[in-house]
Amino acid sequence: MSTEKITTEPSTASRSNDGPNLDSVALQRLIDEVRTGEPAMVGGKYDRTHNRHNR
Amino acid sequence: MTAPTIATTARHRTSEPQVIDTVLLKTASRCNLDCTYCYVYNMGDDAWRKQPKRMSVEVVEAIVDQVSRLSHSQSHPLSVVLHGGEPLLLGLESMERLLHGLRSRSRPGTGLHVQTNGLLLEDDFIELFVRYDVGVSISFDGPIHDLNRVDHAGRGSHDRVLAAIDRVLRYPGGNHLLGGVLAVVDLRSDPVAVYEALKGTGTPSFDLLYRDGSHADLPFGKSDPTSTEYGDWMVALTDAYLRDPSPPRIRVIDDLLRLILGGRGQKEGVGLTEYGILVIDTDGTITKNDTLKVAHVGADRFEVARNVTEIDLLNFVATEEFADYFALQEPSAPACRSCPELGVCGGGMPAHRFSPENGFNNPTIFCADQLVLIGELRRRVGVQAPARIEPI
Repeated sequence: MSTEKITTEPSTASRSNDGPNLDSVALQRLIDEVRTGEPAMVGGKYDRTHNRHNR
Repeated sequence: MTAPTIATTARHRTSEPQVIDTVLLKTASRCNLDCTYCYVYNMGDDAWRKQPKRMSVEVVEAIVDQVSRLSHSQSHPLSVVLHGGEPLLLGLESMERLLHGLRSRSRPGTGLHVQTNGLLLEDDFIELFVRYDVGVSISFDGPIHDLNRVDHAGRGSHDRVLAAIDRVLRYPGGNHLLGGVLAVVDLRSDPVAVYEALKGTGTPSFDLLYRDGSHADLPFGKSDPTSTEYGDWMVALTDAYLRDPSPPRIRVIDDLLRLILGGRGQKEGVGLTEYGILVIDTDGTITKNDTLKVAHVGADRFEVARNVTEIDLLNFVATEEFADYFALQEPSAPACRSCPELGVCGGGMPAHRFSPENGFNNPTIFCADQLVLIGELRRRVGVQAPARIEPI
């Protein structure tokens, strides 16, 4: 199968009616983590099985 | 918000030994489920048939010895992941031998984890996992679980898996073990219903995988390489996630957002972090990342078969052959190397890049999907994509 048709242009078309979600709880949590440089742990600790692997 | 600087330059191999992030153990080669989409059993590679059903004592002891020494040789901690087949088919006695050996001899901080379908996850195994501090991840697909995750008699496993998740969460000390739930996207499902069902398990976190495929064998439900069924499905699920006032974690969405915001990714197949993954098969054979089976039969095998009972693992990870395998993670297609989103997308899983014509030198078959999803996430956080870059 040819792969020539794939382009890698960033998508700008909206798939949703929602605007920016900067008041989102999930998003605010991540913004805080990126600011502090540390991801929060879940389940009491960082779990590589769940967090990392595609199996 | 202005776009953060994202590392999009290609990495180059060095002569330094590769750091191992994960040793994945195929403790059992068989499974008590027969999931329709399984890359181990139902995508053409039947190498599992030649494997013993479970690891022998000799292999378990060799793994304890070799992996423990490897853990002490690195400054970077590694994790051991028990996998299969269904890893609990190893049996309680051998499982205890393995966990006791690894926990007592490996460097402090070594992670022990298991990815299970949950069917055998009774109190005896949970007690063992609590005792040896083994993180547990359970495969659960939500409301359409029984479309694909059936046993060898064709019976669904939905209710039994939900019961297993509940047992872990209720077991004394068990709630800290559950790292999360792992689901495979089925395009026939309602993404909002899937979100609610996975959150409803009580898991602190879940992750979503696309159905495996490549340019040679399109993933289920994807009509052509430029179509965006998976991206559109994920955008709809993301809507529910970002609107939720008490959301769990969604690993893949969090990772993409973290990278868009200028942070670091943590998940294989997203962003440009490389992970040294070593797989030890049930008979002790050392293999590459087992997901490479998706590309073609034998893609996960090294040219020369080596067994953990016979070779020195520390020497092997310093070989040229291992370095070649390690370098496979790096996206090499020209379209990827010039893509403004490479730093976030990472080129996807190597297995999903495969075509017979170009090998792994293609964008992921989910390229169009990822661009839709990343574009939508950028819109939600108000961070624009960086300008197109020239390949190095």
